[in-house]
Amino acid sequence: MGEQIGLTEIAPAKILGEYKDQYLMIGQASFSLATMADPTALTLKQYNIAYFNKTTLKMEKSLPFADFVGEGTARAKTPSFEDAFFTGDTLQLITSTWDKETKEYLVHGWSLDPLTLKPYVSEAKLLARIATERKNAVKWLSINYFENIKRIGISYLSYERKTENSNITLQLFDTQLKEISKAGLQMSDTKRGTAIGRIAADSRGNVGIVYFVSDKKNASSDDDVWARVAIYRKGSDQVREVEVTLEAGNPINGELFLKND
Amino acid sequence: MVDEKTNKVFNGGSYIAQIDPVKGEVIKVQELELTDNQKLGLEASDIDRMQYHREHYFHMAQMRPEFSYTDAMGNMTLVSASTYEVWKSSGGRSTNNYYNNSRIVTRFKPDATIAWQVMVPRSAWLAQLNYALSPAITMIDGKLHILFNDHEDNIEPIALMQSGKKLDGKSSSKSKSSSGKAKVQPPTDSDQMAELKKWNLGSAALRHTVIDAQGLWSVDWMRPVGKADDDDSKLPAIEGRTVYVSQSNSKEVLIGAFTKYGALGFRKWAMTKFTF
Repeated sequence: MGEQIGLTEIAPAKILGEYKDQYLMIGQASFSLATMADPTALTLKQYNIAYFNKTTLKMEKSLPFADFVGEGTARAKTPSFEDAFFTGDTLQLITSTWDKETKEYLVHGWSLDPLTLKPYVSEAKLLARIATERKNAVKWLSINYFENIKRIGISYLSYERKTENSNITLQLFDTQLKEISKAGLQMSDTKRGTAIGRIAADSRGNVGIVYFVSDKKNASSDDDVWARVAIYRKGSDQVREVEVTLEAGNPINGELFLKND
Repeated sequence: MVDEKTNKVFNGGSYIAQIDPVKGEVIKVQELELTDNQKLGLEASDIDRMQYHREHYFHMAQMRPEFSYTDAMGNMTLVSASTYEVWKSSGGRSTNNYYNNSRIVTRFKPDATIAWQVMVPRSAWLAQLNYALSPAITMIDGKLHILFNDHEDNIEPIALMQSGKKLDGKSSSKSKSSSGKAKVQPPTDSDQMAELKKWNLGSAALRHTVIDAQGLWSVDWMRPVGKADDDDSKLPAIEGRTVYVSQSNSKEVLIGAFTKYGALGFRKWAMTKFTF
């Protein structure tokens, strides 16, 4: 059992929008913990949704969502907020959870009553299961809801120890959490994915990412890294990939911008 | 071994590549390069006081894109923050990237060439770190709005900068970079150096910068309208990652906020509303 020794911080994470006479904002509360077995203070993070009166901006209540996504600890499964949006009278909430035992990231979609945070269905919908040997690969997990095209986009890099393959996947879902498209991006036998940028979308329904590949045999080197751009074009059911070569050096990072007219 | 001459060399670069998604071809690659004064401004305002300064030198790794907007004509406005890798004098690269608090605004024409660049100088120091809460950035009626927490003592130096007067005797007339390439000059002296007082919790005023389609900028100072719901709170500090534009009125913007530390050492949250 942990002994709570202090609520240290509530950090605003995102204003989710307006529902009836309130604005909803999600934030992350941090608790410092210490246990008898381990006196080292741990940090437990928990997300809350706060309800603000639209007229006065006064906070009227705050509800945790740990009750339904499951309590996490700093060393096991900790659900993280990824994004949320309204579909009529439903709050769709996207979370990711690191499963230490199976070494997987699990991305879930939750359909909730916006006022009580009670789930409309008992089971969350599993949107993605991402095999990764390293927890910090979460930085290569990009999840966004795009209001302009009413789509959830998820892109990630997964890793298989046996084959040493690193693959990049791009998935799209509609507002009912139904999968629209899933594309594995092309790697040859000698190439592997190394990183991805944030997922982007334009108003015409094109969705894309910048990602990076390197030689499999020379993966620890900064040399010979290529930037590629993958764009899913709405209606074509195809992902088109473009390689970008820079004369000045090898790319370290990149982001994709799509025209938002 | 790193010698002194290589100290503060900005040898990283950022590029923008324009791609035709139908043909699958790269149309144009354009380097995003800063003027010498912008580089000096970045160094002077934030990087010098980092704790590893004496042992390390800094490498501008990238311009971290933070916001972009492309209008119907194809003009793109990009707001980015420069990040630095720290190289140890003994060799090896730092695991962390350090963020500069100033922002670079770049306007691209439809053919991906740069129309203008403006630096929005900012200095902050939060919890003994070279760190600031994110600025709130929105595009309203073709004008870019950048709003962030600042120190009210900066009102005067920012006004001087806006008037085009020299600050601290330093010139902004350089037009070429160390690489000899021609630089894009902003239409104002906005890349002049300024010794800005660092924002920190408790020294809250809000600096509101508006940049129009020609790159001309103006500044006014604001205070939040919203109020936290407990007596511990002082003036909130906005957290710009939480920008929400009202569905019914696109000029009404909501931003989440931290309140100051309360009696129990808590930070609490609040929400502020702005009408631009």
